[in-house]
Amino acid sequence: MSRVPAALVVAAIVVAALAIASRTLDPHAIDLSARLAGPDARHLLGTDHLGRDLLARLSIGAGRTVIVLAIVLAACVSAGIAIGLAAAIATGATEMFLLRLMQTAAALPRLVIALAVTSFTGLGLLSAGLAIALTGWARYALVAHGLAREVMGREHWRAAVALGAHPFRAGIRHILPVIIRPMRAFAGADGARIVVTFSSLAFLGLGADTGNPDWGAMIWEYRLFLFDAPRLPLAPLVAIVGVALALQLLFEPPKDSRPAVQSSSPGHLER
Amino acid sequence: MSNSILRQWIARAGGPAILVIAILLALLLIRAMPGDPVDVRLAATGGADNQTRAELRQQLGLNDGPLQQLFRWITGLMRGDLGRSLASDRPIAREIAARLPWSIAIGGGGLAFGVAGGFILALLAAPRGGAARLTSRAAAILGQATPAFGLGLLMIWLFGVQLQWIRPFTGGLTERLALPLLVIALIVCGPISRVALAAFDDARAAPWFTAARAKGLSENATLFRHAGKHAFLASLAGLTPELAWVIGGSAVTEVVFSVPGLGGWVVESIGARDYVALQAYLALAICWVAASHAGVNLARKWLDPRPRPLQ
Repeated sequence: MSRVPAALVVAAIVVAALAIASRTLDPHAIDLSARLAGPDARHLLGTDHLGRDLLARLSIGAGRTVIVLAIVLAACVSAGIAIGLAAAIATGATEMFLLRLMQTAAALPRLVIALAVTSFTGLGLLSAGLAIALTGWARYALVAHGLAREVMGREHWRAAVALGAHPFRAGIRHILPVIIRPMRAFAGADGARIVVTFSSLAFLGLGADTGNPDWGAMIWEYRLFLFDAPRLPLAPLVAIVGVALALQLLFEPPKDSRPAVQSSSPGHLER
Repeated sequence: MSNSILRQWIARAGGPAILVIAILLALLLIRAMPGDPVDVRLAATGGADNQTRAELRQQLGLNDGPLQQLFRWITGLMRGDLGRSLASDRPIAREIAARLPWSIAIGGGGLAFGVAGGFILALLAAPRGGAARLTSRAAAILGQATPAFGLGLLMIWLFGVQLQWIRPFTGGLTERLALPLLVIALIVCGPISRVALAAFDDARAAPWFTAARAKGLSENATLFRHAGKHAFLASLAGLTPELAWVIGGSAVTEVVFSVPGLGGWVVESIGARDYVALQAYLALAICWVAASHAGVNLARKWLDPRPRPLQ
């Protein structure tokens, strides 16, 4: 995990460089005299069918992806920890009820639900982020629940309860700090799924304003050029896969989220 | 005594509770979508005057209050009547019946091949270190990092254009199904192989494994014959989150390959604001989730009848 800070710094530099590059080149500037131009000094990745600079569009898409990622992670982590922790502390029938709730919610077909929600709210960054979070919180809650259960088996928790601490207050003071770090790791590993889901939503593009250069929307727009100018659809695809891969490799999910035959926390990702 | 039975019921109600909440929320959201199915439908034929619009609305029953429409739909559902599509006037049941086989073929087939592939990959990787394990890990990571539509486009480009092995859009049934099935199988086999590999590793640490080896059984034979059941069970557990592929989680794949399955139908219905179709789909999805989970659990119980430790 000590690679993470270094990698984040590198990533920030790359994003900043891209942003600076995009500032010199307007992603929306149409230049029909330079359609489908190959890479040259002025357009580092060439232009698309309307003469727009590809690299500039990619970097705007990168910024949008990062924002959506941040929104989804914030929503999922807070909701997941809140519900999962509450379930673990509650014990008894309440816990079983919440557990079933989370398991069933985690099993619903996610992309379709996110699709329906975004067609209703549009593909603005906030609404897309919340739609994706709506379909993903359940697994965070399950992981948080598993982790909290593990902590509750330890001595310091039992001591706190024996001393008469109110369970929920004790939970916030004693369990929460312990599970935050593995939850962060899980969230980071889940980042890949979020990036891919957002690109799928943009690809299908219902209710979208197609002026926005989201990577998925760009692949949809350029899919007709797959044979003539393959770099057009492939560049955003490489970007998506690259970012998702990087997120996956950087963050090792915590051991308790590893799938086992009888665990309460499904451990892997689905789109 | 009655207190604990009540508590058990409350506990078990968690699953159905979220489904009921999900249905209600979804029905409300669907109705609240901006855009009017009548407008969408008339736009295809060039628009119409207000009177035609009003008549069409009346005919489709859209002038009743939302609760009334929902009540009509629910009572129809109980009679087995799924209603008619707002976009095409065709009975929903027939639409679903026409599309379901495609989704099952791609989703179910993809899952089946994915599980088989993941299992075999894990079987190959378990006794050896190094390359095979790396492949398993790489498959899992790449499978999660690649969007299904991206993989689909790559496949079309690779197999359809460069190698010219398959005609993904104009070929016969097998050719049309081959690539989308492969896409799903590739995406699913990675995580399944990780789960199965973990089970194999656990099995290798078990005393009965050492005993079998000591008796002279080869590593591969022990893994396959004795540990195979454990790994398969684990694969089934790992399969559960992926079951949504069948019911339309493969919407993107179906759109890319122009397959007339349920996923593509949902995308179209959302675009056309076809409330009735979406409600029917939702009901179907819920039934599928419940049924497939029950099915997988039954399979697991059949393979491993031992009582599970209480959670």
